[in-house]
Amino acid sequence: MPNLLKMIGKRIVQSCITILLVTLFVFFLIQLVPGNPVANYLGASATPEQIEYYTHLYGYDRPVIVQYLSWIGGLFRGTMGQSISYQSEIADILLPRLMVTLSMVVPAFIIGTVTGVLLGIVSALNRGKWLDSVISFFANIGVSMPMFWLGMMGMLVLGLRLHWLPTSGYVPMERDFGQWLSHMIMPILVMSLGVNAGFLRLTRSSMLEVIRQDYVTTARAKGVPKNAIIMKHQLRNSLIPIVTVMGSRLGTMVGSTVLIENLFVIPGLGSVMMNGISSRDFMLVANGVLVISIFVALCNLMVDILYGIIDPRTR
Amino acid sequence: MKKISRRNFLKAAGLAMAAVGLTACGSSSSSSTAASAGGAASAAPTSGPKMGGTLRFAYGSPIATPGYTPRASGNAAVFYLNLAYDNLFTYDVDGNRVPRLATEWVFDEAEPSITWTLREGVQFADGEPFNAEAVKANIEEYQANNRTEVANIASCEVIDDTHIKMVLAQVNSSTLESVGFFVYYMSPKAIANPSSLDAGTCGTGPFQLSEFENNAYAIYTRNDNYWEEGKPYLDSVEITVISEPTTMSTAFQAGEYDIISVGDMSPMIKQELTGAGIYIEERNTNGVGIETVGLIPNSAIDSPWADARVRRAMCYAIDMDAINAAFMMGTAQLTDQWAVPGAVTYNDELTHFTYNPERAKELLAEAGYADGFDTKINAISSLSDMMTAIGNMLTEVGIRCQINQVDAATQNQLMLEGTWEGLMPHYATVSPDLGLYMGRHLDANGAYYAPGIQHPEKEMELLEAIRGCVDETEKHELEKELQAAIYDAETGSCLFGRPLFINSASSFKYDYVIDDFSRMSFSASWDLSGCWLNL
Repeated sequence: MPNLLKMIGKRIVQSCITILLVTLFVFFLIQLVPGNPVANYLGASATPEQIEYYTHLYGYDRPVIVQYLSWIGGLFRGTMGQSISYQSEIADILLPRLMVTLSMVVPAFIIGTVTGVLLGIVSALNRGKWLDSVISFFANIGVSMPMFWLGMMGMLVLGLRLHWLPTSGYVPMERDFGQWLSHMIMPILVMSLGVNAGFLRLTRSSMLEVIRQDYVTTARAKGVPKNAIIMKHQLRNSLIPIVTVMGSRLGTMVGSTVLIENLFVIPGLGSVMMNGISSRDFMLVANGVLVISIFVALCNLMVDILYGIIDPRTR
Repeated sequence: MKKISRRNFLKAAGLAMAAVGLTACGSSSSSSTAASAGGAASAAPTSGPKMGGTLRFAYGSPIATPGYTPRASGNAAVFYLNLAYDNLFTYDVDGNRVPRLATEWVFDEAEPSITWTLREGVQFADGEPFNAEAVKANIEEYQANNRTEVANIASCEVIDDTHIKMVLAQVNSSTLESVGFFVYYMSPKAIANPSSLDAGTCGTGPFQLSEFENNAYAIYTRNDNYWEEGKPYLDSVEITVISEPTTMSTAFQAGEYDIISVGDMSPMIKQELTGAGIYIEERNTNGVGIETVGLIPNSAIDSPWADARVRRAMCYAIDMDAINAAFMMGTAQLTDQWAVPGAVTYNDELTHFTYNPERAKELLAEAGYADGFDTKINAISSLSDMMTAIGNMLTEVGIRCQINQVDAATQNQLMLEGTWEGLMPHYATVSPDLGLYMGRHLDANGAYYAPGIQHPEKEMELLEAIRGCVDETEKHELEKELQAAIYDAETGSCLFGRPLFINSASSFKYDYVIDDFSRMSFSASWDLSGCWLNL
């Protein structure tokens, strides 16, 4: 246990350094991108006086290093700064949007992972049989089919033709849970299909790798029941690469939902980031990257902990 | 009588059942279409307005500040603003000014000043009275935010509760439109506490904001203090921001929205909705608030584009009918000047540009570029295919174009700084008041495009004359003169290059939506005070 705590402590320190470096790189690199946030906000009818006024108001006329230090100082005081494109405190924009994204990503991830791992096990245990072929066939389709296209088909078939589900839109959970659920089923399913296919293939190959190991043969020779071999020896050992991928997959899912959010009109983090980039809202983008990098760091930390539990050699 | 065998009987029965089944499927599908069309067949209202209901509107443009109006900029904001707020006047379908919060106005050229007579008995949503003091407070708030609309007002003098005089710094006829249409009046109490307007509204409009998620949705509910007796009829209005046109159209056809906004740059969607035959299209016809997309050369830097003959050669080399057919499915309305054909400032007497590559080559030769020259077209991705086609047309006459793809923010910066090389898209609001709208780009101090174009004496004098002219008829004559000075195919300075097409939008709605007046007065607005649902 002390080894595990030591490892967690070490990982937290490493994550903090990584996040600080990410903020530094993002903040300075984004300044190199051409485009003026004030001009984007004010539109084609703006006057030079208005542009000057808002440039000063939002502090864009200060040196970049001063802007960066002011931002980091603000984070320690509990403020992320003001978004020019949203005309609002950035924490008030990003955190509710992160919750919306998580309410879509987490169920999709859980559904996709659980079904993917289970089907992967079934496929591996039936290697070469018709069931394996059928599962692999659908897994290959799931991996190769773009989420955007899948979403469009879902909208047209389940929404427009059959009227089983709303085609798009978002209703906050606190306003009407049933409506929230009916609006989220399609995006969650679409996202989970991509996850499912990936984990299915990974679990299958990982299980097949373990099946060939000597300790599995030994366990069989000792007369250990089949289910016990699967659960205790095969699955536990094949989970190591799966857990590694789970962490990074969950992290990247949060930062890559923009297509699904745009398609299904879900006001999540991805669409905010996209708007921030297109309107050159530097502060919004920098804070968005910060939130995503913290989330990815947390996911990696959880993976490291799980890794330590599954495989004590890594502590 | 012929005997029917058991096998034949079963065959016939099976066919009959299949036919019934197919008919049932067919009727079920048509009934679902009718349902999704909101009973399209029951179109014409047979009785008076019905109270209640929610109008669901899908719109591509978000608003950052729906409550604090001095920070709401751009035409796209007007759809939100005129739900909760009123202006002093608006426009009717013919483009004439009609009273809103002001019942009369007098422009005094001698002083110069505008005196407004305000409507009596109007209250803001918080119960505060709308009066001259409220107008003064709003003008001062707009001035504190450096809004150009009120820049020409030197002072406001409250005469009494219902009369206010705005003394102008100089005679500028555009000030009337700026102050009368583009200032949306907030409650003085709310102005004193602007944070109350971060996610709320406090105006005199028929609805007030009750729920708001930036870039996602805005829900407005009826204002019980609304000044028009018995109105509004609707309980609420929901605006959902949908940036993906296909998603919007699909949701509309599934009956999830009652009315949507479709841009001209989505011709396939427009054609699909029009072709369905069950939706009503609404489109602005008076030219107020209409935008065009053009191709503007940088004439300010030392290059072939500094010569007006080269700019005119470019205009002759572009076949806009072919471009319209290829990229807009022939649906775009075309223009060749700073106005919609038919508008009061459209000059039909000037020499129009036609597709004439030979004339283009002649003009290039006259300017000393008989062998042509190399240039760039800076274009965003949504226009890059069209610009590539135009580039090929220009190359045909010797203007060899290289397409430089930029993103929207970079494009904004280029037009702001005037540093684009060669050509770039020109986005212009072509409303009739040229002093106001063309002035934003033509004026040497204009923020956009102005640093990248020449400012010839003749055009600048005409611009000043238009701004100083109060008489409408005389003003329109001067405006037509300015159109000719710039857009005449043989003598024009061609400062803004070639207007390509009118980039407006249409509203598509189900026919149970009555009296929404979408896009009728101003291209990006509606009046829902008398709107009702005939369901």
